[in-house]
Amino acid sequence: MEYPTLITAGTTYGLPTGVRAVEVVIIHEFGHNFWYHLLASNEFEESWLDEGVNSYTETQILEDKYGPSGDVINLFGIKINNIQMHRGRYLTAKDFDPTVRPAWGYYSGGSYGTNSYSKPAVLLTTLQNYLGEEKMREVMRTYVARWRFKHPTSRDFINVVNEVSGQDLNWYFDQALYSNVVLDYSVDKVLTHEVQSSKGYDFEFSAPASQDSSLTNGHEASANGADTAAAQGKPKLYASEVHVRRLGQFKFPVEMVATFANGEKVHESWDGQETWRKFHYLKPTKLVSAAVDPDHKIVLDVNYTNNSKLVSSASLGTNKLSARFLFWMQFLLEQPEWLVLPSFEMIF
Amino acid sequence: MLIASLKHGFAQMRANKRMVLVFYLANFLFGLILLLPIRAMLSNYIGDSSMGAKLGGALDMDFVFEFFGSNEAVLTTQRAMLLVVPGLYWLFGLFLSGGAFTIFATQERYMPQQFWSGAAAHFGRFVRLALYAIPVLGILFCVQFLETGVQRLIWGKDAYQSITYWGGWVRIAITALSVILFGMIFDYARVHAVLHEERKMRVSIWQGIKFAFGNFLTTFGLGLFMFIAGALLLALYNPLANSFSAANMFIVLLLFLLQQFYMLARMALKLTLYASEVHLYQQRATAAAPVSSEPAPNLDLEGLAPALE
Repeated sequence: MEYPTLITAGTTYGLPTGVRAVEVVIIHEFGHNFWYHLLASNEFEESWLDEGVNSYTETQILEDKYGPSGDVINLFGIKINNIQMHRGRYLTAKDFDPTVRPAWGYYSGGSYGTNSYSKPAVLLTTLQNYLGEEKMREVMRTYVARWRFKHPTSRDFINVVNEVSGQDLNWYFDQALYSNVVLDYSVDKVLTHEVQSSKGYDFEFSAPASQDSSLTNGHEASANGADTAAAQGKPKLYASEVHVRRLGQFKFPVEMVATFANGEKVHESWDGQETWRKFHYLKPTKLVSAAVDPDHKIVLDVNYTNNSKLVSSASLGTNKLSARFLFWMQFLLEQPEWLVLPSFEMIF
Repeated sequence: MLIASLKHGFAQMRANKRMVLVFYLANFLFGLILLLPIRAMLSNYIGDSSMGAKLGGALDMDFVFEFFGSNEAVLTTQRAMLLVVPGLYWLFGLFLSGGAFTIFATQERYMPQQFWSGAAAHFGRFVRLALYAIPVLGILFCVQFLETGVQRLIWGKDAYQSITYWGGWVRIAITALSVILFGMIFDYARVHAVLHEERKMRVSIWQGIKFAFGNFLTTFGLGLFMFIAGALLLALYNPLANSFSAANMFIVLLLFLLQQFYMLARMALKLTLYASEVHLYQQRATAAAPVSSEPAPNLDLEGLAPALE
């Protein structure tokens, strides 16, 4: 709990060192000395400005201190980061309310918690990945310098972001802060096939062999120029397609990477405004996979699993998880000792 | 006597490998029933995503949060299955145990006809026995709360957290011991029912309690030995299984084989315990029987000498 110049944090006897619950609370409560003690925002009407900005800085400090993997939980091989926990919590109440809303106006206590703490941490981390770490730190420094000992509002924070970044980012905040739309981009289809020679004259010839062609917002370009090359006995050519879709209402520019069998990676950018976009390639190598936002920079994306697709299916992960689950089920079925577990809960 | 029974039990288990396989297959099939909905969910959710390849290595926590968040309805079904299937498995295990005790009581090798007829013949009785055993389990489970009482007596309602923490571990230990005790009582009650062709299960449960506590050091020692052997087996298995972390189909296959080998070993331990318990019961019962003036012509004297010491 935070008080001006005083914080309190609790712990539990015997808590494993790999569970950094106390550290998280201390860092979080200490952060309140800035958000909302130094920058005295209104915690009732715009709770994200203190709890949310604080949750974002908490993720930054934990990652700096404990590394990029398992900064909150690092126990028995299970590693969970603070930002992953915030994202996990955001997924439980992603579209109940806009983030900016009076505390008493949220759908439920869960929605208040998600929109005050977790979603702001997620949306500010997404913004940081969009602007770059240095620029984001400059934003935060300017925000503190300008608004310390005053009463900033959400609009004041946005104005600072726009000014320091040199961009009009209202489109982002309108969606992330003032609406409940969700962000979900996916790779819907990946296709690749060898180009066969045509029997007749190709009226749609438009692209020379080995040159890529892509689609722009629903207009297809033909890659049939390869027919001529194939007919003339030149090396095999493959026509490949990647279909990317925007499944949510949130619009955000995304990166797409197409990976080919020879190791070549083609990076594409899409403004993400339309509901879909198709990319076409004509190359002497097969398409292997495609991924939208491959580095998961857009933390607001509610489904990372549909961000990528392989041309040939990969059941490895399903098989491994199934094997592990099967084993633990067999173990539980056979071990009466698991009756001890109800007692285990009594310890903590 | 304990070592002799263990040796005998181990030899009996080795002589009845096909019976171990029957128990293992039952465990595998019930495990599969629990797996199938989750497997279908995983397959459907992952699809052809690159996540499918990534999850072949380390577990991705973003995936875990997404998966559980997106499959709440099916997970509710899974939770219901987790309540029903273990119950059914327990009943099937009870059924199989009738066959196992019959084979071990006659000290013959596994014969399907004898095994399954023994299982069928005793199943109804064992179910009644289980009903009689519920109060025993309840009493044993409640023993752990003695710790809570003692703690309150000494430190009152607001004890230091270190007291409540270590008290929690003490309760876990007591519960684990209670589980072993209950297992012993229930096993010896079944042994009594099979050896004496007992039809009154209240007699069998009483004989089970009497035998388990009347020969406490030996019976508890046997149960504890098997419990520790199981724990050691798990301690051996875990680091080995964790070392199979590479995202490779061959490694996943190796992991699967290791897991199944572990379960097979657990079944072998379970049947070793059954055979040891039957042997111990037979030896002790023989030793406790009134001595006649003329020795019985076919009396099995193996292991008798240590018992009389």
